[in-house]
Amino acid sequence: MNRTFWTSAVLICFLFLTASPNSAHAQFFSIGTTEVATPEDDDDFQLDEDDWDAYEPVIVIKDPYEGFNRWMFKVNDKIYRYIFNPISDVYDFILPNRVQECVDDFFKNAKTPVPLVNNLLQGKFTQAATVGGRFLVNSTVGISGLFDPAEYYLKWSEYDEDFGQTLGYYGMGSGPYLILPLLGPSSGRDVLGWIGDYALNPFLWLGIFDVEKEEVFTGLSYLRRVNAYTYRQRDDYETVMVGAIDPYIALQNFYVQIREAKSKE
Amino acid sequence: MNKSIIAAITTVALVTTSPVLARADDPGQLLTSTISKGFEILRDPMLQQPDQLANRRKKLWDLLGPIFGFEEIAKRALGYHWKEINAEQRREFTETFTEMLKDVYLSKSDDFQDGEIKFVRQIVKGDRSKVQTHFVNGEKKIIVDFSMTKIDGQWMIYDLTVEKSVSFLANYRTQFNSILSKGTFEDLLQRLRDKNIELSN
Repeated sequence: MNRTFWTSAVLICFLFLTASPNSAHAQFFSIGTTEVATPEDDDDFQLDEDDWDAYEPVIVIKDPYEGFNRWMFKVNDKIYRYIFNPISDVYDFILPNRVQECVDDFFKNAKTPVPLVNNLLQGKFTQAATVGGRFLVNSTVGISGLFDPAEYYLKWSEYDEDFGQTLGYYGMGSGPYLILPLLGPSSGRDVLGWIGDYALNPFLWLGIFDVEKEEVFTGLSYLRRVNAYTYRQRDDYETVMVGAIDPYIALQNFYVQIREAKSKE
Repeated sequence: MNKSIIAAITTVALVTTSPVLARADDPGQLLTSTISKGFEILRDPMLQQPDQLANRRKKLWDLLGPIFGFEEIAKRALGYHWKEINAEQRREFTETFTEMLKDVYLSKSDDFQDGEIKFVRQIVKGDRSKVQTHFVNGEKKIIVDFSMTKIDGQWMIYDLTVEKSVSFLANYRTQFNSILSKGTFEDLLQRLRDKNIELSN
């Protein structure tokens, strides 16, 4: 563990020293009643093609296991409603939103190896440098990652690359759509990617290298899941469900759109 | 003489500082100022009383409804299927779908009390435009891009894309397309009606 730790630490320091992240400071000024903010980056902001009557409607994903997926979708929905939600209600009652945000930031910071390695694997060195810089700033000034001063003060945004995206970057197709038990929407490629990212998960190292800490590892995993569900996923999921005519397709399409957009980053 | 100079300066100052007067034809200005007024309604303590909920939603709808092009949304959500149905079906579909969107998103609006909208940038090309905004709530910020088109001289929203990735129109389009690939237009309409009943309960 020590060697891995120090190797990563040195690598991260090196990246931080050579970092030149874009620090486009958001400047706010007021016109009339509405405030104006500057864009975060100079990406291509343009009008989409006006293809309202196109025959091929939107990006789609192969769904050869639709029968199983629809069944799993229903099972998950029941699990969320009857098991996750009551736990989440209690958690939400005990911990204020600000604390949940800190917990979320903490886990995001702790899994820095995932975006760091995947940015490097895709040759996105500037982004990797920003990820490394964020880790250094947030682990120190941000008190072990509980806060995100790197974003707040330095405008170093996170670059959330995962191994599924790396596989996509090297030309691997998404594979079939899959609904995983508890975890929800995924694809063949993302399942592979998830396994790859899991190997980079520092909490796994804690578990493997230090057997006595296994309870800590398990406890942290539960905390991470309950917090992520309460703080981020639950509202999004419920918004999708309440606005959907065919909830299964709605969720699938949001998943596809998000993955598609991420692969273009 | 002095008076007319002051009057002239005042007029110029008013025109240049009042975004509505200066840029009546500006989609971004129309959108952000209208939605800002929406947030003002949500912040109004008088309207936060439990017995004022219906009144508050009505006020919001009266304000926001006119800047959404519901027929345009319906048309684009159906895609090429729009061409396959008659005028009466189009009217009924637009009405039912609008009812649904209204119920879903007005019920969601109750959570956005402390939010505000910031204009970022826009592109205008002929009768279409795209307006980028930030919805800010405390330290949380969401990027929302609005697609707008000019209908009878008035800019109207027909799609919104969250965080540069998720288009709501594309999502409905995929759902409708999936339902229509397995059933008839009447089936789709029935599912929308069922949804409206479910929402009103």
